[in-house]
Amino acid sequence: MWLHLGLLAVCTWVLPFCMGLLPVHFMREEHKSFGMVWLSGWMMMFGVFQVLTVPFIVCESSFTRAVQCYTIVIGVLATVFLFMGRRCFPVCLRRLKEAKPDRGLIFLMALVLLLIALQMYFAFHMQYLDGDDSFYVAVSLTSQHTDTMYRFTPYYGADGELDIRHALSCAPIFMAWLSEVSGIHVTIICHSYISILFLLLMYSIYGQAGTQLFPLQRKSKWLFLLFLNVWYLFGNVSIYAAESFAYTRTWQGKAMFSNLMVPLLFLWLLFMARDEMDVGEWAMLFVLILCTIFTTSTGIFTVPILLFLAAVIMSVVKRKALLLLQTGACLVPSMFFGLLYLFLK
Amino acid sequence: MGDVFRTTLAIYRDYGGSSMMTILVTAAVLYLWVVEERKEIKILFVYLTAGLAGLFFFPLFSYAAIHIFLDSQVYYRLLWLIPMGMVTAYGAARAVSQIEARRKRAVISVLFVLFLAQSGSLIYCNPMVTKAENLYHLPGSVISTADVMHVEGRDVKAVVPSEMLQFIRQYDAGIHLAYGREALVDGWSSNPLYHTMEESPVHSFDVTDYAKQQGVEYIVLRAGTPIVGSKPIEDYEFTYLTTVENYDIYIFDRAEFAEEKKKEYKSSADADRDDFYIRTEPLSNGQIIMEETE
Repeated sequence: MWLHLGLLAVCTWVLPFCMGLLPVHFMREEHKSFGMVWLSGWMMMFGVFQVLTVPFIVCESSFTRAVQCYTIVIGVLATVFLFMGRRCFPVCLRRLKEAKPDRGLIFLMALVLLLIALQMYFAFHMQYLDGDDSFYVAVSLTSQHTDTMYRFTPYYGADGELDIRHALSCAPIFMAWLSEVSGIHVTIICHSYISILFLLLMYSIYGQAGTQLFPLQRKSKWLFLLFLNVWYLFGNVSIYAAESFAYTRTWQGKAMFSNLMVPLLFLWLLFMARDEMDVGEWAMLFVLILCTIFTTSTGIFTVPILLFLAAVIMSVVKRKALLLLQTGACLVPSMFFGLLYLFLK
Repeated sequence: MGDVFRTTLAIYRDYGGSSMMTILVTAAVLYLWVVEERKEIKILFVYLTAGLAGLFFFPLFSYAAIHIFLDSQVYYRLLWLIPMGMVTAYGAARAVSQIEARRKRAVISVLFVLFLAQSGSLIYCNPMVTKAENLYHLPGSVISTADVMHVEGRDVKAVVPSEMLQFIRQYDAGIHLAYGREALVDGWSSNPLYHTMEESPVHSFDVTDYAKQQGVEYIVLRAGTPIVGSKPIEDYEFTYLTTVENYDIYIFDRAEFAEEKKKEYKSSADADRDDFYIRTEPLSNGQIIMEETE
């Protein structure tokens, strides 16, 4: 069991950390932190998975081949990125030391961390029997069982044609990859591990957002996080609310889109609005767009709306038309996968 | 266009339910519009948020979106593009930070937290959220039933009660089903076996006949389900195998693994179980007479 858990930890902690070092290395000094490394690493992993796996899916190649290819590529990339981005490490360490909490902040910080810990505890000990899992989790399990991807109907297991509506968003195949590499049943991974891990990832994204929103007021940042925690905890207002998805379907692409990708996109838009976009930030925005498609096919059409609207507003307010061009370049993955979807439909 | 606007409005209302969520977001946007001085925050949390909301309600856009790239079922996902929690929490944290007196700041924060709690709904109070029975977060009965049906190195086909449909293939993808979750959703599919399975009483001939036609090797019935017909299920080549967690499992006699399974579960089969079979004889006018079996 420890071997399986160790492999899972390597895939979900070590690999994202290594993968995040290089993009963060090319980011601005004020954006560098271990949190940013970890979440950028996750996005890199999703992005690479999307680029590598979709051709296998579209060509109806086997799941095993996709797994082998991704495992080798991500292993090599992680090693290379670790080596090339190693100088980022001391900077992040310094920022961590600088972030030492004041005495007046300890109570608020402890309260926020306690709330997050409680949510993680409940994510493990409570279950929500969601009907859509009979698709998403079953797709992962069916891929492993049949060695195909999006070919068999997950609901009842019949062989059919390639399900192109879902095939371009390969988040369930990523879960199957985690299961394949770690040797742990994919349903356990989704319901008892990812449900906890992605809550942590979500709050680390909000933590980064808080740091950027309140760069000089640390107390306000923790207050912001406290209000967010309560907002999420009491956000079960309808079955449509993103907040409900955050707890009940954490591992599904839809929940990843609304609770990981959208806050991250807003964080990046904040960088854009502040003219804090270096090579690393632009590259990561490109990867983020890929990740939105990785999570849900809805992202192919909705994310360009968000980015285009933001770019138009920013270029008008800031009188900088170049932003439109730069944002357009980052939207190339959406255009590519949108055309691919229309072509294969 | 009027219809589209009404649909959009209904989607918006359903999104926030009876909570104050959407009102709070609107209040936060208005507050930031008035007091926020930082241009970048105004761009994101005021102009962009308002622009997205405007686009969501704009009839021409919603008509195009619903008919071209989203449908009315998923149009609500456009609202996901507005990070409602982030905008509201930022607005509230900013407002509280403006208060200079420490005690007053703490009191306002507590009041805001209480207001959020009172106007929303705690996720763990959702009746669908229950204590996890296992690491799979699946009903234990589903796992026990799937374990009985599993055959090493081979897929099997089963028909199970509706409450198991969504879960069994999350545990074992080697179990194919005659129909899946789509049977539960109106208009997604119509399999006569589903209606036969969900009837009470279950008709022994109908259920076994449809099952054989669809290549089913296991029939799983809720223990205690009344079964009617001129013959019991066993006489139609489906032998009772065992009962697990209140589910009776029948195996198709001609399945290539049937004999092995019967041997395996011979000892665990409940010999004294109550048989809810009621013999019925069809009359010439189509009605049936029920007879109690001995």
